[in-house]
This record gives sequence, C-alpha cells and structure tokens, in this order.
Amino acid sequence: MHLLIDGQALQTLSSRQRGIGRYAGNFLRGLAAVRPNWRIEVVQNSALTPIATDNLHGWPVLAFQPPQPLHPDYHEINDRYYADWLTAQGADGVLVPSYCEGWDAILPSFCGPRPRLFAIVHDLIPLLYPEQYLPDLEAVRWYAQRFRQLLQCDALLANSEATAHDVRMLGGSDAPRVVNIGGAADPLFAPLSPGAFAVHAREIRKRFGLQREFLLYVGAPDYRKNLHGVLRAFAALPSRYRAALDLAVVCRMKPDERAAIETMARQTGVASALYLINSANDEELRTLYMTCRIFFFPSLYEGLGLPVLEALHCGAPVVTSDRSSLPEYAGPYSWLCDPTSPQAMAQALQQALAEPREAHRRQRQQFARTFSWQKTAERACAVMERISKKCIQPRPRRRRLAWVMPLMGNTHSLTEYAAELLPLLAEHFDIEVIAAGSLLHVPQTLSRSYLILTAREVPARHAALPYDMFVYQFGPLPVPPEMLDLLQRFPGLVVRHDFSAPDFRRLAAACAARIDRAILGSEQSDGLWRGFAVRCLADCADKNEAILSSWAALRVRGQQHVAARQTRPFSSGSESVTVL
Amino acid sequence: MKTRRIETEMRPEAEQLAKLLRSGLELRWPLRLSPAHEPGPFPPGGSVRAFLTPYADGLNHRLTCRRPFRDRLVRWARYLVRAVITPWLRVQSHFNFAAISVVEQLEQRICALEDAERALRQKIEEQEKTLREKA
Repeated sequence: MHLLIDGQALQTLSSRQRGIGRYAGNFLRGLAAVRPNWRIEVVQNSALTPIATDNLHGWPVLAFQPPQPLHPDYHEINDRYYADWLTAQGADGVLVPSYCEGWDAILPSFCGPRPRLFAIVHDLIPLLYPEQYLPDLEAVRWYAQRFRQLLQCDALLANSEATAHDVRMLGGSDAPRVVNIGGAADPLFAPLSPGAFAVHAREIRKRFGLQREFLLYVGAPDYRKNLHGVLRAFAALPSRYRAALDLAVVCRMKPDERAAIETMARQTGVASALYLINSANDEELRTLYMTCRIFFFPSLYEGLGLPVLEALHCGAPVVTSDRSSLPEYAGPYSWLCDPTSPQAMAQALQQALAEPREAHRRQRQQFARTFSWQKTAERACAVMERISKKCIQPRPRRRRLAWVMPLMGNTHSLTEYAAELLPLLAEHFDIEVIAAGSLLHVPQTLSRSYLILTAREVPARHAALPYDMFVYQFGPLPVPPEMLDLLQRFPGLVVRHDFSAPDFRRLAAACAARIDRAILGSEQSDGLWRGFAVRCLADCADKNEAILSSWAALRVRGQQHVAARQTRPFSSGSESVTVL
Repeated sequence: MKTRRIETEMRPEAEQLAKLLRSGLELRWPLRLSPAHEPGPFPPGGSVRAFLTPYADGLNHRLTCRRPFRDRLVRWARYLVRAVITPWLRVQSHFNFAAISVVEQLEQRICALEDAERALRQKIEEQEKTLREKA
C-alpha cells in the first residue's frame, strides 16, 4: 500500500508541543513497526517548522509548497490546491493525523475523484462546548470548515470509544465509518529503577519546593481541564488531610491566568498548600508522577487523556472524572468522580488516600501496558486496508439548484412567477432559493416550501452541499449588487423573464431541459472544481493565472492516477490483514 | 473502585450546532457565550438576521392553539383581530424587515471598521518593529 501521511500535526505550534503531536509521533512509530513493507511518504508543509527527523523513521519527505500565504483569507485556495496536489502523487491513501488544526495548517478539501482518505479524530470539544471554544463567528466558520472536511473521509480513526461515540452522534447519517483505534502512553514514561528514582525524587522535591506528600495535577488553564474544580475539591477535603498534603499543579499559564488561579486559591483557603509549576519536561514529569501521593485529573472532557495513562504507567494512584474517555483509560484500579461536584471529588480523594500508595501499583501498571502504539497502529492499518479494498461508489442523489432571485418589497411579479414555476421544477431538482436585495422580504409562499438563504450564506452552503447549477433570475427592475457579486463568484445560467401569461408546465419542461444540458456540460468540463478554483482565485488579493494553469495540470494528473487505480487490483503490501 | 462507563451526554445544542455545520448553515448559529465572555444581553452575537427574523413577520405569524375546545374561541378572536389590523401589520412587518436590514448593514460596517482597525494596528506594529530594528 502506498500511503501519504500529512505531517502538519508534527509541525504546527498548536499541535507539535501538545498531546496531538505526541500522539501523532508515537502513532507513526507504531506504524513503522507494524507495516515495514508499506510504501509510506510524509508530506511536509514547507511554510511551517520542519518535522523532527526522529519522527520520520527513514520515510521520504515530500515538500508541499502552498500556493498562497498561510492566512485565513487564502485557506480555501490552499486547502483545495493541497487536495489536488495529494491526488496527483498517485498514492492509494492519505492519512491526516489531525484535522482540527488552526489556520496555519492546510488541510485537504477534495472535489471529485480522489485517493482513499483517512483521519484520526482526537475529539469534538468545540462542538460539545461551543460557549467556551467557539466564542465568535470566525471561530464557528473555522470549525465548520474543519468539521466538514473531516466528514469527507472514507474512514475515521478515533482515539477512544468516547470520541467515536461523539462522531457517530454528531456526524449525521452520512458520517464515514468510525473505528476506535485507542492510544497509549509515550514510552518515555516507563518507570525508573529504584536507585535512579531516589536520586531524581530528591532533586525534584528540592527544585519545586515539595517537601510533603502532594496531589499532582497536570493540565492547562482552559475550561474543560477544570483547574478551578481541582482547587475547590482540595478545599473541600477535611482539614486532617489538608494539613498533611500539598497540591502541585503543572500547568503553563499566562501571567493573568496565574494571577486568577492564585486569587481563587486565596479565596478557597488553599493558597499555602498550592505549588504552581509553570513547566516540567518529560523527565521531571515522570518523576513527579512517581513521587505524587495521588494523580488528580478531574477533567470535564478528554478525547484520550494521556496524563492518566502516563500516571498509571508510573504507578501513581489516579482519581479522575467519570466523563468522556477517562473511564476507558483509568481502568479498574482508579477512582472516578463527578468533576462538577467538589464534594464528590473530595470524597473520591479520601477513598484513594485511605488506601496505601503501593497497593495495586503493579495492577495499575499492568493495565496501562495493555495499551500500546503497535496495537493502535495495527487497528488503524487493518481499517485502512479494508477500506482501500472496497469499491466505493458515490451515492446517487437528486441534482441541486440554487435559484437566485431578488426578494424585496417591489419584486412581487418575480416572486409570484417563481411560486408558480418552482413547484414544477421541484419534480426534477432539489431547489433552494438565494434571496438577494438590501430589504429582504420573503413571502410565505416561498419560505414554506424552500430553504431561503442570503447571499452571505452561499459559500458555506455550496461547500457543504454543492449546487449543480446556479440559476439567476433577472427581472425588469435594477439587479441588486449582491446578485451580480454572486454571479461573478458562482457562474451559472441567467434567465431574463417575460411575464406575458406563460404556460407554466411547458415553460418548466423547457427550463428543466435547458438546466439538464447545462449541468451535463458542467460535469463534462469538471465544472464544480472549476467553479471552486475560479472563486478561490477571485478571493485572492493577487490573482495569478500561473496558479490556475499549474493547478489544472495537477488536477489532470491526479484524475489520471485515480482512473488507473480503479483498473488495477489492490495490494495491501502486508502478509496478513487483521480483520477487526 | 468500580469503573463506571458513562456515555457522553449529548447536549441538544451540540446536536443542533453539528447539524448546522454539516449543512453549511453555520451563520444561523446564535452564538451563546459563556458568562465569562458575555458582553451583554443585546445585541446578540452571530447573525442578526437569523436572530430577528422569527419575530419580524407579524403578518404571517402562525396563531397556534393546542388545547382543543376552550381555546377555539380565543383562536377565532385572534383571527378576527388580525383580519382587522392587517393593513397596519403589513406596514409593521415591512418596517421590521427594513430595520433588520439596517441593523445587518450596520453590523457589517462595524465588522469592516474593526478589520480596518486591526490592519492599521498591524501596520503600525510592523513600522514600529522596522524602526526599532533600524535604531
């Protein structure tokens, strides 16, 4: 199997230093171990920091140069160009280790035939907590784009059963197949030998000033990580426990966030026991896990919750939340609690403190070892092989029309005309009405039967559910500027109206035949892609004909590869295919 | 120490938002900010038109009545009153739609001004940086 792996999860600032980057790096290591005979190439975005060599495992790197700068204004052209560039490489499949990257990453947005597409889903947190993570329209737009791109895949690989469940619930009836491939702790978190541990523990206690037994929390200051809940739970512990314990919080914070946490600690009366550690490297973190009395992680939501697995690997008793993936990864020897109730968290902590630290240590470590990157990669490979063998035919669907017309107080005749004609055309097409005009007035005759969209909504709607044809209605009145703008960006059929007592049935039949011909012509000339390309370039400040010609050449090459692949039998390149 | 497996509670808001995103209608999502981000009750975040349109069309507003017998009288009375005040309702509805358009245009203009301000700030910062480097 010839697989291209998008390497941007190992490049972007938002991922490479966080859990997603760590997951991607370890996943690639597992993949190299379980499928040494696959032809794998890693795609590197030349506009970002290069991928560290130890993540490449000797695989060749393909450099992709985005045609436009990495800026939100150009994301569509970059994403669509990237998709055609990937298709032109002639691989059997493309794996994207993280689709939810920021605007600095380019994620493929395909149109038409393409190689098999797979992605790893880490979570759908912005959808679950929009009040916290989608605070403005820009963020909503960004996430909508990424979410739709994710749902384009042929199969999704989830890092936990909880994430897979979320995708099944929120992905809709057309969502691709989702398989839980799991995850594991980084091998760096293997426990130290007793001698080395004693030295490291002494150093760590000295460095961070931790003289007494302590509870450890590792996280971030954002809402779902529930740092406020940690302080409240600690404050709710009986005083006999608090007198003997400290609370160590490993969390990278900005000065204002740190000040807010310190204020809250003072208000809850835990300031004297609180140790804020701004950053700790992996070595220090491992020693902290091995030294802490309890690892306390009451997160509201985790796609995977790597810190829990890391702590278990190091043998620490774990108290964590009963939400999302955490029960899956905490295992039978951890304590679960409601992360929204300080009393419930304090109660779980007391239960954990009542048990000696070393009780069940071996069982905890054994449970953590049941997860491995080889197993994760093996599950992913099995899915990719199975899907690559399948012949996926596009589902037949009714053709979609965008009926663009002015809808204002003075366009009654055009509205009445549409109300007569559209029901007849709806026998052939799915129709949506795009209303243009500065003083929109939508009559009920139309709004009851058709989805009415404004001009601003058209690009996103067309990207989500592409229209096969735009039909523009021009009446005797001056044309609203929004309509002309739409016509420039989304070329289609233009209708000049003659209202002199038409026979609507005959007119509808003629109109449908004309639209059919136009759609056929558009399909033959790859019109949907051409429309996207024209619009992407229209949105660029510096229009460049050179981009369009190189893009068209890429497109042709890609389509040839896809056509050739359909005629030859699929070979997985591996000796055995595991069926999940 | 038993492991409980609790399915993620799927909030109706999440399902509604996912449906809008899948269908490319994200501009219809009425932004709900967390209390920490809340700037005030009005104007609402998100699409002004999507927020106001349900209340604008007084003329075609559906008069619903779910209980069968007692409220039939009330429903007929409503129809009667509406028939009488239809000319005024028409004017009012037209005014409402016009007002929505004006608010929308104002919102767009504010967005454009904010963008311009951002660009200006960026330019100033770049120039400052260049000057500092030269110095």
